[in-house]
Amino acid sequence: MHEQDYKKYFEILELKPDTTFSEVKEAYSHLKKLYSSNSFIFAPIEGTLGKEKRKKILEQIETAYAILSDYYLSEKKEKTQTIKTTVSNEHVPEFDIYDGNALRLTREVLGINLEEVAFFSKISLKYLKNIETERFDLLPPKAYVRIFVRKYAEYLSLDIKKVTDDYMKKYENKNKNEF
Amino acid sequence: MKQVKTKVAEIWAIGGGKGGTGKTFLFSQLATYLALKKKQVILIDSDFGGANLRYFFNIKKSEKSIKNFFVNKEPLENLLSHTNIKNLKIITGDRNSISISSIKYSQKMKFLRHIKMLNADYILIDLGGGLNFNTIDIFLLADKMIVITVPEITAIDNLFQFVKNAYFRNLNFLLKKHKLKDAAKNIWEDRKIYGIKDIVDLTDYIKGNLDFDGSISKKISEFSIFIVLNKLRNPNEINQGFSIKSLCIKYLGIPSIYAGYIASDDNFRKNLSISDYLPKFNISTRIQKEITEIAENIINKEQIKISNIKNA
Repeated sequence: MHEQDYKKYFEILELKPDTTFSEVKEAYSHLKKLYSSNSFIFAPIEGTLGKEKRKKILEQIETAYAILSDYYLSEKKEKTQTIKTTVSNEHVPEFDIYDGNALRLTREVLGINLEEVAFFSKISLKYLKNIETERFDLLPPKAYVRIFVRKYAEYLSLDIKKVTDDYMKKYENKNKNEF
Repeated sequence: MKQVKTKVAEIWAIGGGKGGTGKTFLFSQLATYLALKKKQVILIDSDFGGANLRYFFNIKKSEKSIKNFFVNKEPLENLLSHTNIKNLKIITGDRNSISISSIKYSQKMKFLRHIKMLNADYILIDLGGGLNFNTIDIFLLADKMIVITVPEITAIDNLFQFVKNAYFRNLNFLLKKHKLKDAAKNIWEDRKIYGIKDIVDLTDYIKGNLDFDGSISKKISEFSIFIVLNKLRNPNEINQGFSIKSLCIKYLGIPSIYAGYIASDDNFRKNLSISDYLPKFNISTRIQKEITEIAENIINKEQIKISNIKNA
């Protein structure tokens, strides 16, 4: 297939053709989640179209993602760094307890820089740094920290529950000692 | 001789259907941003019913408002008020004395022509709430059409209605120009025969069967909107902008760009002294970053980039 033929699939994922594989993945997961959900925003627009239209949209999204994945994995390998992530996933070390250091080490083994995490997790770089270095005093309130750690773990494809529980335990212990 | 017009202004209009979503707030901020970028900016409050732009620029009571154009037939140029910001002039709206539905077709066309004749880099038109066809016609005049909503079902419902109405009105204009008046309406009424289920199907049908030289298709795809989400209460709601955009694309077939968002500011509401309404671009605030991102995305027709706010 030529570049032009892929344009349609980028359009289905609502992207421009010059995008990175990471963005394709991000767009795919958002759209899949949206059209599988019962989000209230469907109510005003869905009308009588109902499930049928959504099923069609979901099928298109799946097809587009499958074709674009092949495209990136075969032709554009050198252009995207994130492919490394999926390839080297098997060699990711496992930690007994996930703290800031464990997150940093995992990230480094995966060859992901913090800017990339910030971009896709939508967490500010400053907070990510403070999460890794465990500067709890410089982090926002607890509820936010939990969300941030969760998103960070999700991006690294780690066990979200384990990472969040481990990290928040440490966070709470440290805070207890301080006050 | 008439004043020679030296610039072709880019016109931005903001609509969105519902009052209280922050149309006037956003446009006063965007106008200020553009003016501080040394662009000549004119902000027009064409919210005929509930004009309130003057609060954002601390103009006590302007001697001249848009009413002078419609009632006294004064040229728009004469109605410009200076603001405390260099390069930014405004035309204040009017309250109560003119009703939008009472504006005659010829008056409206004159208004649209005169807006285009104003000398500026950017002309920002703040429309009132509502789905009135006069509002929509002014909206359709713009080079950049912007809609704003808040993450609430009623407001989002209004947004879809507004966009849908604007899209249909535009479609009908285009078809009328090609001597296909009422074609869209007729096809829609017989949609079962044609196997048409929604607006996307209707548009595809028109493009495939009524468009002989490709000019209608081209014009249809020029209709695109910028979406701004206001009053977000938590970071998760940022994603709703992407969802609204997706629905506009997939259910209405309208090319849409999620230009940015503004988080809710409780302090802003608590204080509510008049000075809080004035755009403050001299200090570095969260809102300044959000406005900058929205403005640049609209200028460049770019979608929101999360990386821009990673250091927020």
